[in-house]
Amino acid sequence: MASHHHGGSSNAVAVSGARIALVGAPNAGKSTLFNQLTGLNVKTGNYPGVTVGRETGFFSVDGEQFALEDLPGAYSLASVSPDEEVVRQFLAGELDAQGINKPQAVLAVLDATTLDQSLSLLSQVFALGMPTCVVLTMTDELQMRSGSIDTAALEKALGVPVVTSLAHRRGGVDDVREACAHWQHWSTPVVAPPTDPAGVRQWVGSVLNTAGYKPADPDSRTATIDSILLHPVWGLLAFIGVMFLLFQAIFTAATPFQDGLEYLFGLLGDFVRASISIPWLASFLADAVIGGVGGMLVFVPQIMFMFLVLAILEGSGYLARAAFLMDGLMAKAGLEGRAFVSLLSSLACAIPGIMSTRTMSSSRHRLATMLAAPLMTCSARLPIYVMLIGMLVPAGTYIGPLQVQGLVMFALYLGGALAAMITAWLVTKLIGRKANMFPFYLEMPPYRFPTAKTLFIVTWNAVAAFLKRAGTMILAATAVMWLLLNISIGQGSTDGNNQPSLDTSVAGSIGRVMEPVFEPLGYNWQINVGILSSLTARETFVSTMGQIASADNPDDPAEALQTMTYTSGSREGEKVFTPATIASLLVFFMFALQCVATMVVLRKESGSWRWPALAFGYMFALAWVGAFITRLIVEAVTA
Amino acid sequence: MPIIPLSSLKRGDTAIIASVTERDAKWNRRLEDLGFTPGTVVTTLRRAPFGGPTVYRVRSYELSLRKSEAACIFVNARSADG
Ligand SMILES: Nc1nc2c(ncn2[C@@H]2O[C@H](COP(=O)(O)OP(=O)(O)O)[C@@H](O)[C@H]2O)c(=O)[nH]1
Ligand SMILES: [Mg+2]
Repeated sequence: MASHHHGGSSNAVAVSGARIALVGAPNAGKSTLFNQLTGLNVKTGNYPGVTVGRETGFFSVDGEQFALEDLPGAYSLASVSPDEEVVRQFLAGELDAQGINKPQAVLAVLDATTLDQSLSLLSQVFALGMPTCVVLTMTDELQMRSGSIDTAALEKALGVPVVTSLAHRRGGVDDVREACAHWQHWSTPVVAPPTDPAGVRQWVGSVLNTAGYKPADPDSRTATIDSILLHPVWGLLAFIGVMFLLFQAIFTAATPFQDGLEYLFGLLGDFVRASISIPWLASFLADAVIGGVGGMLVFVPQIMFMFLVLAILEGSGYLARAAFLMDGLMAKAGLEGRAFVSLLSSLACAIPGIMSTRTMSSSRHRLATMLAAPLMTCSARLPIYVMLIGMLVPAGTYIGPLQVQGLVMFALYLGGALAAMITAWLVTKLIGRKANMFPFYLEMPPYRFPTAKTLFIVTWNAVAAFLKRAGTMILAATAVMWLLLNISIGQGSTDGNNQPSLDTSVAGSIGRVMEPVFEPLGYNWQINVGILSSLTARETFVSTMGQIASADNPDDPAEALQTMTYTSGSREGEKVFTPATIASLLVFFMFALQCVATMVVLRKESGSWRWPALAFGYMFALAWVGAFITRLIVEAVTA
Repeated sequence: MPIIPLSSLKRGDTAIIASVTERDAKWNRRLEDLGFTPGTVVTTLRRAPFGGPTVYRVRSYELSLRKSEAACIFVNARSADG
């Protein structure tokens, strides 16, 4: 989620040097090299499909400026999936009408351990007729696995410059930069390689021969690890263990940090209330800014831990194994193994999950996965769940050895995942079997140690994106909400002690307009307003409820929520947050597509508003009916 | 040497690809681009649970294919020590 991502809009910055594209198979090391050359921090990882869009960066050498384009990996320029299509279109200059962005030269990034495979891609790149330079990566692994290559001879055989780089350790980056300075002298090969399959094979064979290529032995470390992690029994047990660890990381490891932050923000709020004498300003700062945004910031540790664990899984190469192990199960829902990885990353946020479907060559699998992703429990739902579960189940309640709060949380995650799978299955049934000719194939990269930088980038990008959301969207939403809560319509706007009455506020009237829809679920206008505000970002529900509560009772907002009563309607006088209401809210948020950003991305990725509109309607209906039934059941049980 | 589908090759067995069934131009092209061309050596490495895919070593990398795809690739069965 780097800020330099773009899907195809024109950003024609004139450069004195050249616009150079990084082309190569998935996992060849393009993004790692890109980061080293440009100083940017795009995501890298040991899983085919980490980069799914185009990223632009700049670097200069000898006083000339170059634009570098990181592209998704491609096995071939004859694209079969949306991410590969980005590569093909970009190289052909089709991404913008004027062709301004068409690169002038290509850096072909080739993994030295899979050279006999990647040279066929190079032959296709040569056919484009652009000045080309080959960057050979992974020569360290080639050596370790007792392979070798004579790069000078390779250069002769290919007829284009060849540089080696070990960008994950900053090796050879200067050589690549230096080579770019002379891009005008990069040759297009003297003898163009053949284009027919048999001819290409022959060409590859003769190039490797001339270059004295000794292929790498199969990686014994990977073979050993896979004999356990891909074992039909041990592999599945290890898989369950890994998933369990992921949850532990989110819920247990982050808790102390979270408690610490909560305490700090509590102190800060008290301090502001005590030291600012202008009542409205104190209320704005303490309730809206600290109560709202601070209430979000306490979730930073959880987000950090979740992304860190996901980055370790991705960087090590385990995600590809997880996809492999899950393919059989996913096939039963009409999906494929990679969908598992998309859904897993949707636990952090549905948006990267949806974007990652670009690697799927079957449009049916892709659409089904995209529509399932928003049902996975994303990190934005966490604050809501934590708040509501805290109100539903007293901390320290146990059934046997199991903590009940944790059980409820687990049930919500499970419910979301089940709903996602069923939805995917429905979608694949609805779209039918047509146009699903594409082979499922998934590369199993060798296990690698994720570099500290990779882990840092992924974690930091996630935290930065979250902080940005908290600082912009959520802050804006809380500020608007504060206004709506504090501006009253009509007379009697104050109830004596200079405290505006919430019932007559603008927010109050908005919430009441929504009453016919949510009344059957037992929600009062305050909750309705919270649900409406959560469309901007789900977490806003928590900050809005916090604001409403602390406007009611600044000293103890939690108490204010617990004791809130209906002020009108058939339930007048009764408590609002009964177990029935809370459970029904939990179910509502488990299913509802309360996220504008997700809908925008769905529209962009699917190419029409039809799918996000359908998804919103479908998930709202699911949420409403689910919440209604939950309410009935819990009422019956607790009555 | 008998010609059998890749999907019926036993775990640990190595064979040479003889032919790939014509199905669809784009589809065949992809298998070719992934390295499944006649004359290429393939090794069956391991199978996934729940009737899932199988990992093959083809050329110098490891790739998993579902049974339905592997059934379209025909190989010359030869002895495992080959
Ligand atoms: N051993 C080794 N690993 C590398 C090298 N270059 C990149 N990597 C690792 O290879 C993996 C794939 O890198 P990435 O840049 O994401 O590949 P991309 O898919 O081509 O963008 C990452 O785990 C990198 O840390 C290299 O030269 N040697
Ligand atoms: Mg990449």
